[in-house]
Amino acid sequence: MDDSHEYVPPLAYAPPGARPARAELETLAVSRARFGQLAVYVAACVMTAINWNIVVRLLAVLVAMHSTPALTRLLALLVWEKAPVYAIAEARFDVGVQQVNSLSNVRVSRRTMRVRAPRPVWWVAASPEQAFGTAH
Amino acid sequence: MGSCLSRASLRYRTLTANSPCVRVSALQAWNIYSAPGAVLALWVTARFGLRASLLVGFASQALCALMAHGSVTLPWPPHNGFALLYASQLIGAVGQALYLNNVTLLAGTWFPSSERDIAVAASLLCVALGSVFISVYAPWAVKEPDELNRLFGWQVPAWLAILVAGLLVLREQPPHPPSVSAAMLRANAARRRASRSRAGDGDGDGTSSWSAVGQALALCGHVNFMVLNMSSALLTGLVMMLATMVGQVLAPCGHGNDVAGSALAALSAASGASVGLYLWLLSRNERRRDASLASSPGGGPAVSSSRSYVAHQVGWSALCAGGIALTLGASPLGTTPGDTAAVIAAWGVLGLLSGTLLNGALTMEHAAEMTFPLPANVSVSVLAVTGSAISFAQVIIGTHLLQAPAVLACKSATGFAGFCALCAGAGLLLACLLKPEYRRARAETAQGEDEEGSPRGGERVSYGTL
Repeated sequence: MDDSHEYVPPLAYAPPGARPARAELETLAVSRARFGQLAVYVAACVMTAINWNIVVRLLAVLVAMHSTPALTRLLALLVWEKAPVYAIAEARFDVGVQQVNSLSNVRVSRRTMRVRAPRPVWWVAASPEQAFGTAH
Repeated sequence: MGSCLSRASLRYRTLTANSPCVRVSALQAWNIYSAPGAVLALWVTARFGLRASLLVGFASQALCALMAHGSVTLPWPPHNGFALLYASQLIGAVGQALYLNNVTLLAGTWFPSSERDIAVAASLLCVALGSVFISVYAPWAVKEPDELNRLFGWQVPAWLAILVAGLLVLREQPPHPPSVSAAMLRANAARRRASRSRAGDGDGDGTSSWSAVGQALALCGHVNFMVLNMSSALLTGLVMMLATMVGQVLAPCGHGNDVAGSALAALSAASGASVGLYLWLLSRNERRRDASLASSPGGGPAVSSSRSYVAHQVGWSALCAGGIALTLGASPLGTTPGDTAAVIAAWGVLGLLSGTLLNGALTMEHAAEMTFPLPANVSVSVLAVTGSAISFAQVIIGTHLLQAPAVLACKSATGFAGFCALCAGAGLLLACLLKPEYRRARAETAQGEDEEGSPRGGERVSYGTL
């Protein structure tokens, strides 16, 4: 680890000719390194959002299908709607197309105000039984 | 605290008593992601450094992608596949804090004071861009069950590429600190290491690593920071809640799902535009500042003049609260094409007015400014945990309040509207109570003056003896 504690003011603030060529090269190298750090970080940020938006929806739907009515209401509020990926995921995981259809048919009840909202949550979780595949 | 957890656990078990195979715990929402993720990020960063924290975070995401890919491709029973998918998400959720919570630390370590805000805002903006991309890509790419692995398969090489690039490109810090504050933090860290070495403390590194967690907890006693923290959490959490519940807010007023979807799209797009506007303002101000410094005799000071973070915070908070009021006021409009367009436009305006606050760069940099000389990732960890908790509570409360009959829910004077007004008002009030506390800028200016005037071009200023 470099333990230099020297602050080198930006080259742009230096009087003309005040800094040697070596310092200019050093500044350029640091600028490139700085850009590299940010580029890698930005790529990670983009991929993180992609992961959220795929996996989270699948988890939310899968859990919502097996919920009690009370929890279904809560989860249905938090499940992204109009995603054909859901039905495909349910088929892939073999958890019941009928249940998927039931969930898809959850619409706004003008009397009870229960409706799905187009937004996912990532934090829904399944039971230990389901996680270990011993129930259902 | 333990009693509260027990009661919550009992309540949760009662709720799910009839469910043979599913448990959904509100407690897990926090425990899985924000709190342990933040603690882990603090510890790893303090113990092994910024580079290691980022790389471990990237590796966790690569593992997460690999397990998710396996969940849809391995010839396992479906429930085993689901378990694998769930486990992968746990790893990914905790691991992402290792790099997301370090965004301000990365910017402060590598970027000069004039570019720190821009780097943070641009990085966080890319999270929104990723969401937009996958929202378009997923329905287009997957139309049959067997195509599901298309969503997961390419994530594995993508994350591996990021991990390899990180190994090759990421460095702990530049040869010389890019700002006076970075130099001071580096000097402080070196002094602590030297002190431990002199004391012969064999376990010093481990102890000091946990002290980062202690510093985060101690920030809860920093009144000005907590005012900022709660103000931001209340307002951004409220906008997130509205985005989560857009369907429930609009449907009882006669609007269909298509209107809700359009309103959310307008909010998202306008939110991105808001951050773009904020970035443009920041870069324009920096260009003007650079031009004025370059034209001044002798090159001018290299230290950063403090930004008026408090004014920005109050201004954007007021705009955000105004956007919330406008959105709630417009939602009960009719269902004629003109009214529908007005409703969607109102949600777009909400995105435009709240986007900068939602982005988080302003609040994070403001927090780093007032909590200096603590490393910037400490305050971000507290902001992240608090924001998650407040947002979650608001969704639960808002959901409960919107379960009133539809006729009542569509009127502005409902409990839901009152709750929104209460949160928005409290957030704005707290923002107005913020006091200017620019410790980082003050320290930079003071150090510059101590060195016989501000550091100028070509001069190296050592902070090894601070």
